[in-house]
Amino acid sequence: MAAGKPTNSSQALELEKYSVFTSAEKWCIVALVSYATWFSGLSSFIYYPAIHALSRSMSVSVDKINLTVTSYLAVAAVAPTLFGNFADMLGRRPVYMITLSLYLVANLAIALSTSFPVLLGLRVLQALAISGMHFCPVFGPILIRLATNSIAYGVIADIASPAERGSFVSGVSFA
Amino acid sequence: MPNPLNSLTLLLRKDNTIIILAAGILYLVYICTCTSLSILFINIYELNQWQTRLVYLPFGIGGTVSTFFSGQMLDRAYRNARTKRGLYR
Repeated sequence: MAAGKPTNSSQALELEKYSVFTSAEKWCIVALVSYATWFSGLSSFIYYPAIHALSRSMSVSVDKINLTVTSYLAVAAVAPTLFGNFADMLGRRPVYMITLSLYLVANLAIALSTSFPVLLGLRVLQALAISGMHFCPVFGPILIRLATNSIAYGVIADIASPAERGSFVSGVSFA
Repeated sequence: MPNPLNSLTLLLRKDNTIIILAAGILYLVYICTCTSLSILFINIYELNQWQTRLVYLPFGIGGTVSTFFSGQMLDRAYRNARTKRGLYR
């Protein structure tokens, strides 16, 4: 793709294009991806102020409600390993569609739940559904291309050359 | 079929393990703090339900503000490391 002789190294960098997306398109993609990833952090943090109200409405102690928090986190730690592989196999878009639909169903069911074991199981389902997109700081430097990333990092690695990844990563960390 | 153990091979590299451990411990402390905040504030300071939600706002605002600076700093740090070692791209 290089045409003409590059006079210095930065011109050589620009002549070999890393991706066909323009810069505006890349930022749109990052905005979409971070919006989807935002729900992952949201669903774990929006739960905390409701712990007191939940313990009163279901008549269980606060320690048991903290169990639901633990169950969410336990699954959220393991699910990205599965969904990262799915994303590499099936492509980013099908995995986003499947996980977001599953997340919608899980949230509706949690809102309508009235007993504690049901809540516990549905939190697990919710974590499984949304954690594929979780901005997971445990997944190492993104410069390792061979690693299975969680999907948000994977999308950034696809569209951005290593020189500009830093800005995009901080954009995703909005989530 | 997806193999979840593939991503555990990341831990075999020592530099990855250190970063993962550090970030993991930070996250652990953050989660434990957030979980107990609302109950403690209700018991000790007798806030009502609406006010406990405001307690979590400073976390979010700090995170949002940091994204403006961290992007530039990451790019600059990467560029410095790259030119120091004479690698391009």
